[in-house]
Amino acid sequence: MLSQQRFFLLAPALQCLLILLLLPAWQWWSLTLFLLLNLLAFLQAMDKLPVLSLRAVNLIAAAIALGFVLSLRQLGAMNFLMHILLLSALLRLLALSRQSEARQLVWVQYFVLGCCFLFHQSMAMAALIFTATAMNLLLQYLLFAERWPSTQQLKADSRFLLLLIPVWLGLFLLFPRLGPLWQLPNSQQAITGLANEIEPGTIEQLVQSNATAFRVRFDQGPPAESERYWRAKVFERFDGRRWSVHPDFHRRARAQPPAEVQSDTLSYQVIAEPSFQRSVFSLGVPLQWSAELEALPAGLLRHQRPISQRISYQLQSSLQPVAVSDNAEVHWNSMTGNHNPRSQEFADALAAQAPSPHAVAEAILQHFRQQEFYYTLRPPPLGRHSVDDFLFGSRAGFCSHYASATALLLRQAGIPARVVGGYLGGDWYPEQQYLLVRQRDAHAWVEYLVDGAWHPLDPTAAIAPERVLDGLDGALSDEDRFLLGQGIFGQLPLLGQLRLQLMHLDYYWSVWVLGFNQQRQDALWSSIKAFWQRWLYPLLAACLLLLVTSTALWLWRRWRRHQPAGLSARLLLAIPALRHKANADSYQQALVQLAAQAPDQAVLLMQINQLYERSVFAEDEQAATKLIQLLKQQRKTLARLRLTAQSS
Amino acid sequence: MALLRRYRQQVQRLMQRWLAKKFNSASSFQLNHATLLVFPTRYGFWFVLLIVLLYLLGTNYQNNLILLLGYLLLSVFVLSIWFAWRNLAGLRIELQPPDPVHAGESLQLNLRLSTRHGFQALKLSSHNNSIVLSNQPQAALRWTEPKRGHYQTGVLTIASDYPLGLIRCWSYLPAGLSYWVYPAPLPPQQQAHGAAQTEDQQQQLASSLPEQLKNYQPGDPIKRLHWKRLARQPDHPVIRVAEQSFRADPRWLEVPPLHGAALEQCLSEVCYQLLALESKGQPYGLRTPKDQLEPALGPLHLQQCLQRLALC
Repeated sequence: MLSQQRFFLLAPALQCLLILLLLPAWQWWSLTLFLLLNLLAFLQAMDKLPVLSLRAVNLIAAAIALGFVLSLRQLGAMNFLMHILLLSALLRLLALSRQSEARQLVWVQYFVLGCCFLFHQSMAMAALIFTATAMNLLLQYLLFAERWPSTQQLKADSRFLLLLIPVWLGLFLLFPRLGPLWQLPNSQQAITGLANEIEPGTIEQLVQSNATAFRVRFDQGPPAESERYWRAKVFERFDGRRWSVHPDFHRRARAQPPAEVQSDTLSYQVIAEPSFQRSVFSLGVPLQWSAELEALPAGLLRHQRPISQRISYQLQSSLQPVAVSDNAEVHWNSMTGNHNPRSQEFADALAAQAPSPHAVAEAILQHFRQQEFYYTLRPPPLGRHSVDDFLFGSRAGFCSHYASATALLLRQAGIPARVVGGYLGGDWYPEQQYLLVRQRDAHAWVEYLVDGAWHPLDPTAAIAPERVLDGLDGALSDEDRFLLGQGIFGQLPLLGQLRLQLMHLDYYWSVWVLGFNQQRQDALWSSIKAFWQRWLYPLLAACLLLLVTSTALWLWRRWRRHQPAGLSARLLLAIPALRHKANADSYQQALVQLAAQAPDQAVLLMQINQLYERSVFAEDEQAATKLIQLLKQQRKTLARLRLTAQSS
Repeated sequence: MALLRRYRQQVQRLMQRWLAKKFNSASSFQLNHATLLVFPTRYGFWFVLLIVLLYLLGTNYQNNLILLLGYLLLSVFVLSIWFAWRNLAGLRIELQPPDPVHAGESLQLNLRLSTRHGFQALKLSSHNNSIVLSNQPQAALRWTEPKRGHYQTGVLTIASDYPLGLIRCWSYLPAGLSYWVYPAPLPPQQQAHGAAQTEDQQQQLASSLPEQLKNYQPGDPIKRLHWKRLARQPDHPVIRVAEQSFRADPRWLEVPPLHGAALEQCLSEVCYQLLALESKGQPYGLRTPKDQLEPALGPLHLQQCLQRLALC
């Protein structure tokens, strides 16, 4: 081991980090227990506590594990697993005495690190978890290395360490992906977002949260502000005060797909934050959706299981009214109940005057506009007959008050109507090309049935049109805005800007890392294939050409080298002077002549002459090779020779 | 299991033959891609299992980050193959044959290691000992040989789990270095060998070693009869005693044709005497049952004498 001391200091630190990372999985008592065990490990590292015996650790483990089993129901299967895993890691460290045990510890910690991603998917948390993974890798290194590598070695190795990144990303992008193989338990956590009930006051609470609900990427530009009604739930039961999802809602027939689809369909990708609910968000009538979603009545969709981590799904919608699915739906949405008597009278009066359902709806909106109604985050409390109190008493309310009153009035006027819960609007970021919808964009509106289709009607638009067009901030008074905490960000623009940038970064993280799925991988593969197909033949042709050229060149050179060129040609090449010989003369004669003209090279030239004669006339190969060698050796001398024309 | 072990032994034998072919010099080795072997350790296989588990977890929860972690570990695994190899690649090992020692003393096989870059956590082991090295240029493998003789070093294994214990990189060095283990010197009981032993000792010796007995011949002194044994077994009643013809010449040391413990005892004593004579500067000769060395002096002569003793 490189250093026991280092290992025993780093390991408790990592485990402390693990405890904090898995915070959502713990109960207060298990958290206390784990922190205590962690403290013991730290004490051990500082030699204040001896290493525990295996027996003692086993006893502690058995006792605590029994406690976990007894509270299995409270914990839920997944959190139980987390408890057991972390307990084993913590106790293993306390009784660590051999290297093989340390290896097991490192192994378990890798697995726990993987489980951390079940609870956290944001970029910052992912960075933290990968840092913890690096710590664990370091622990593993400490187990097997004897000393730190030298700086020189590190420098040499770092280039190869960088290879890690392409291998890693290549695997991520190209390694085959599978759908979920089997169902695993999810962690139990409180649901966020819209609940299954709307009371006066619930949405007001929700809009005080600035947290992201979901983000949307549109394939062809976003729809207009007034069309961004994200449907999540329909509330069809009303007890005079509270609207709720009908208990038999999921058993009902699905809405019929529209007979003729309007041309303007929208394709978009939703990246939803964990809500621990199954409902998902869609615009208008969904026409197509990803495989992990399933259709519900009333044109709604839901996920296969509660959304416990950030997910993304692809949708295609038509922005048209949802069709009615069956008679039960009409029946449920016509029930007025035995309450709110004053509004009943008012609805009767309206119905008597207005000729059509649309006219009734318009009359109700007109009423809101003309009378003194207020749009506020802090409406006064309402009583048992909440609609009566609102319409004829307080006249101040938030979207749910207006939706609730409108839906009830429509029903009392004989028109089937329901309250729809979801989100309205969102912030569009043109540079990043996405729509950010937060919890504060939570909204409630109404749908009423005319001619077999549910027409949306937003009474809030009548009382506060800015809400629809500019978002919540535009519709609220300064005091209300302060309540939402906007004042703080208004004062610190730099901080707000930074927050926004981080949010954009988080968006790209969601789209490219978290949202990378099989479809995208298939798309990547097909683009690689397309690239390959397009460039395959040119590349092959180029390679072939290169191959043929180089082979030909090589063969030619080889041939040149091995071909015994004519000796006379060589002679000519080596002794340029011979080119000026008289045509009638033979080479021998010319050489003799040359020798006569250059007495200091006569011996050499006569030798050449002799060798030439032997090789040509006696076909002496040895003489030929000797001659070639000689010509090569005396290249420079021979090149300088000049033959003057013979006068004779 | 037995089958597996036999299979393993066979593989090892094949491996050694193969290695012997690979290394032509037996005292200097250079580790390279032709001689290094690389394979995942058991922990490496556990690590792969971890990656599979993470893949399943990530797939079932459709969680890309878990998959990302799994792929990170996979690429770490793949890269650690290279790092494990590189740790030993290019390492040159020179071995020096161990100096001769007397039986029971510590033998030392000196190694010189040189490499262009450092190496780490290198475990060098022979059949009976191992050392862990990190970047030392020199090291020594020590062990003791309890019996005299002329030995050859066996196959040395050089292995490393560096950097993460996932991959084991190793090689065998079939270093056939010979070394001598001389008998351990023991001061003789009396000045000369042969009659040196007392009658008691002889009797003791004889009772444990029946080959020290011979048939009675006329002229054998009565003192040499093994009386206790004679009562039980009448054959070979006389205790054999080495011939004492050399006694006259003190320069000659003689090893009589003995066996077993008696021989060892005798060799140890002769060894002691050799060393004593050498240090006193008196010439000495050695007579063994096989051959003899004429009296001489000097370290070379001493070495030759000791080697004779080791091989007796």
